[in-house]
Amino acid sequence: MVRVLLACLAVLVVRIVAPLWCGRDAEAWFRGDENMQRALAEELVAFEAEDDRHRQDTHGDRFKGEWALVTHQMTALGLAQLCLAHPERKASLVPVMTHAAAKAMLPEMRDFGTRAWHGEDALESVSGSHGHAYLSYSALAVGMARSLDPAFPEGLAQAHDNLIAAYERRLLASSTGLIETYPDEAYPTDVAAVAAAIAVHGRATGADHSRVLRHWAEKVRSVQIDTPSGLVIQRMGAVDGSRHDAPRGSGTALAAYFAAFADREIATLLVEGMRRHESSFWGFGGIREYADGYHGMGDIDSGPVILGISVSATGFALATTRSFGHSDSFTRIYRTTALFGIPSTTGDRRRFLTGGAIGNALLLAFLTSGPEVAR
Amino acid sequence: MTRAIVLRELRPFRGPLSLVLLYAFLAEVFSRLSLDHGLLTPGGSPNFGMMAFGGLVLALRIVSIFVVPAIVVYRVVNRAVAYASLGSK
Repeated sequence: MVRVLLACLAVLVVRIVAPLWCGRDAEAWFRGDENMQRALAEELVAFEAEDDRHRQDTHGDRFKGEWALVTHQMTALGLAQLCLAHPERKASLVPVMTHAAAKAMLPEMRDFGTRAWHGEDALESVSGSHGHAYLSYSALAVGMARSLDPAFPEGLAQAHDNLIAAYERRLLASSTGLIETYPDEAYPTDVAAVAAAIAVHGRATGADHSRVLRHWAEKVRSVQIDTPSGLVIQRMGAVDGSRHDAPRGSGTALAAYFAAFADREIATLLVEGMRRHESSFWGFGGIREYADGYHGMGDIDSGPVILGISVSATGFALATTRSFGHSDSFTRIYRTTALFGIPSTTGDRRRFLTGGAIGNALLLAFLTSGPEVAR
Repeated sequence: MTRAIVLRELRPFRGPLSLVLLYAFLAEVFSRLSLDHGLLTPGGSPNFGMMAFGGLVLALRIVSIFVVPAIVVYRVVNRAVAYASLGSK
């Protein structure tokens, strides 16, 4: 009997101490503690410098492809959000942000999309009708950099204008509010990034994109959201809006972050859908990948799915739980992120050990999310 | 209280403490090894050696956060109860 009581006491202590320990930084991140943000930013600034050195080494194994694109994009977005939150840091961060955004547009970063489109390059085919929505991730980063950098390079600005004009024309021509990422495949999440890129282009240049953004928002509501679950359908037919996959948490959580750049109401809708799929245990939170009635394995979008919880969706959810002020959800989800991410501080740099560069870039963007949200 | 008694009382905690120290050491090694690109190679494909090492560090972290405190609490309170019952006799 005593042993059972002792075991219960031990479990109770762990139940209290483990979430407190893992979430000890959550409040500081939620509040926007400048030291915390600066230390993670320093990690990504150092990564970009190291990446430049690798890039100059023609014999080296360069960081390139889809994950590299996302790493540079999210680094640029995170630094841009920091500049918006702490304008006094613009002088030191803006050059790194613009450089990271420019790298996200390099041919070796978008090669994966060019191959998928059988050799058709997104920037060489802006007059065409193929969606190439994957490059909106880079376009969004470039737009944020352009909106903050008075010395933004003219050549890149021209390429950015052309790409955004192409996205606007393609999106307005789509009866489903979807454009393709790859042939015959459209992802509402990628199209949310397209909308974000268009909206941020408007902020940077003063161009009026309200018509296309209204069109996109109306189609998100009527075509792309699964009404019973509140989640967006992960993959769809761009032309007929047919479902090619289930409503899923990872797509919804990332779409909510992107949508917030363009349309606060759509983002709120997605955040509510996402939060309905939060599960928690012992103070640790996670986002379920599949809506009720759907099942599946983990994939490149969701990351590992463990007991129904998606690693990616859980990480993505940090952004909008912070920017939309859901502190309880943010804290629970941050505890899980810290448990598995292993935060570590070395000198003036802070990082999450298991994520590598891409994980840290994503977390910089998500943990500083807020100032970029459309008003 | 003699040194021998202290050592005897600390003996049940050597195992859990060793696990925590091993975790702290391997996490530091992992931190230095992953300074560049972490679990990914520069090309974006998984670095399986690092993933295995990261998995080990993560497993030790989970043990250190959930299992070790439970064992320590159990044994500390168990000893306290044992001393209390001895005192009452």
